[in-house]
Amino acid sequence: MIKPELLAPAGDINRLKWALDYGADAVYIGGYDYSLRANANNFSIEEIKEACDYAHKFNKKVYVTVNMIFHNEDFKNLDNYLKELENANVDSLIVSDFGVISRIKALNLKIPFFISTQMSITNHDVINFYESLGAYRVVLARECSKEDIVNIKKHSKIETEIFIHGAMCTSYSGRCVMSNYVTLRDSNRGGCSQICRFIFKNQNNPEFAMSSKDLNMIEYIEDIINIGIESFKIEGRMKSLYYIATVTNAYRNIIDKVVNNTLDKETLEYYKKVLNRCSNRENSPQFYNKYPGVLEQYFSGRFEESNQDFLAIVKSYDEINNMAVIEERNFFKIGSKVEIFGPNMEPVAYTINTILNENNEKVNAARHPQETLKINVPCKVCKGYILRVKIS
Amino acid sequence: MHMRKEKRYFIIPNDKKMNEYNSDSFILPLKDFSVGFDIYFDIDEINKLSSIYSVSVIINRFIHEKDLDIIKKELLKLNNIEYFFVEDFSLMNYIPKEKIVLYPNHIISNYYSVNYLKELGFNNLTVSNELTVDELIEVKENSDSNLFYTLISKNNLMYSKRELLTNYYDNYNINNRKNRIIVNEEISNHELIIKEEEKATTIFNNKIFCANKYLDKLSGYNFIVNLSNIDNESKRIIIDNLNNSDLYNLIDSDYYFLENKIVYKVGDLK
Repeated sequence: MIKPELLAPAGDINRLKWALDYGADAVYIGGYDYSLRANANNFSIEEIKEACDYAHKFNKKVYVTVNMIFHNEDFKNLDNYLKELENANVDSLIVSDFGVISRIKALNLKIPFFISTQMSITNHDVINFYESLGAYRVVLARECSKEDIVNIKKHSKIETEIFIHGAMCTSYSGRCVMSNYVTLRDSNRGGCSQICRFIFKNQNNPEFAMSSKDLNMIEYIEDIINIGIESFKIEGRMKSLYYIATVTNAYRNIIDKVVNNTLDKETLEYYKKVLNRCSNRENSPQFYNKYPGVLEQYFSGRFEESNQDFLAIVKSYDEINNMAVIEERNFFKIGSKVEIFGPNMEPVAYTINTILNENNEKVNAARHPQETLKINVPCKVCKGYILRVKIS
Repeated sequence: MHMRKEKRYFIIPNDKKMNEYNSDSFILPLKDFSVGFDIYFDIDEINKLSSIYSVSVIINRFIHEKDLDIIKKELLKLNNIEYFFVEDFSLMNYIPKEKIVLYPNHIISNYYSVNYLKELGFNNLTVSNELTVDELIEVKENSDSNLFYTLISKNNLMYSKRELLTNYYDNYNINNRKNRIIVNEEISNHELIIKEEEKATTIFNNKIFCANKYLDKLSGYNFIVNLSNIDNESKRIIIDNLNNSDLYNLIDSDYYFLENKIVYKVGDLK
């Protein structure tokens, strides 16, 4: 059994560090230009260098998306940018435009590249074509079924990456320009305004909607490890720190337990609940296990519910008193049932029995987001650990 | 310097009365392997027509694993086909490259791609409809490939593998199920055609895109005229005025991005 790579998203350097700390083997990021999340914070070249230095210290990898569909004018500074990425020691580029592949080759860059999901790859013949262009990996279309994926693995030699969690396009990726026509924002250059999450008037009939629920493959992790998929990707370069840490940590634990043959039903059920609560949209395995129907989409436009599970981040640990200094995010009080977790540590559930303010005075509740407090903890914790509502 | 060549129009028909199109060049959607059109043609129909007209075939569905062998066999049965317009690159394994016109919707948007694909043996390509006229001219001036451009159509905006209308009807228990509806996005007042077929939904802008205003500037391109989703009256006018640079004034049309550059960073929105 090959242990797959867990690939997490990062919209900025802080998220990148959290993703890696919480168990990602690699992260994918975008520069200020040329990626498909033009409105994420994204990374300067200096930050990309910092990201690579940080990741490489832990033998982890950084992939940079250069995966928008280019217009003529977008090539103006591309050569310099590609060279800068190579000099920054980026581990791989994620590309989709043939023009970008041609520039990588013309510049004789040593940096490897693989093919973005933007190209909606659904069969092995296409993969073999991209292999002939020099790609070492492809990201499969999210529309691939298990049958597709098994056959693809059987008949192709290069690595395959699949999405395991996060938002879905309603369309085959790269084949939607509704945003261009309705809001004049170019979806294939990172400006997608998510028209598929709008609602539409249908004369006197109920409003029409087409928004897909999210993808969640947690139940099939063992399955896809057995198929031999090399990289498992989490979607969400614009998601919060909490989301990235929680989702990455959940899949890290599940993958490790599958590989070590220690995954039990109880643990799987627990992480299902974690993922369901963390994401603010409903989810399913989508095309993997069946053809998605009425239950796999929304009919009422945008449907995001915020939750207050994320309670605090640990800033430091007072070993003598077994207390953690925390920065609050959401309300909790004496008696709250919580759990704390961190990189390489599974969640530990306990009850809050002490809260001290900055003057070391006892208080009965944490009421002010961003406030620094001290709380009791059940074990040694470290900076960056997360306190959240107990998931049950 | 490129030789000026005569304009050539390839018609995608929306019915099977072929003698009413005043054309001898057709692109016929292959049944079961194409999507978003009003009519489809099976192998026998295509082979009959290809003995009368210059017939090309369009195959614009993504090919999933289980369909690879089927399409391979179907292709062997086709005779006398001028071009195969294909979305899925896998088909290069079954069709000689010189007969392939790459048709990856919205994807070929610059001359670097065009030139690289030519190096790979793909001389015939369809350029994206989301380009400005200046970009289109620049692509043509910087390549010597055989380029195609959709001159007139209700532009395709989206291709999903989901059955979005079935899901909608199921959700609301609607019995009167049409496979094509027109919906309205209220803020932008955009009308969209939603069209469902087996395991696919395509969405189109409900206004005709017509680039005839720039017929001369776009010289050097082969023109695709896709009559799917277009009403009979407009269709008649289009057929009678293919060469008329004023056609856009004769029908309810727009030319979208030809004059309007779109942006992709929110900060760039004016």
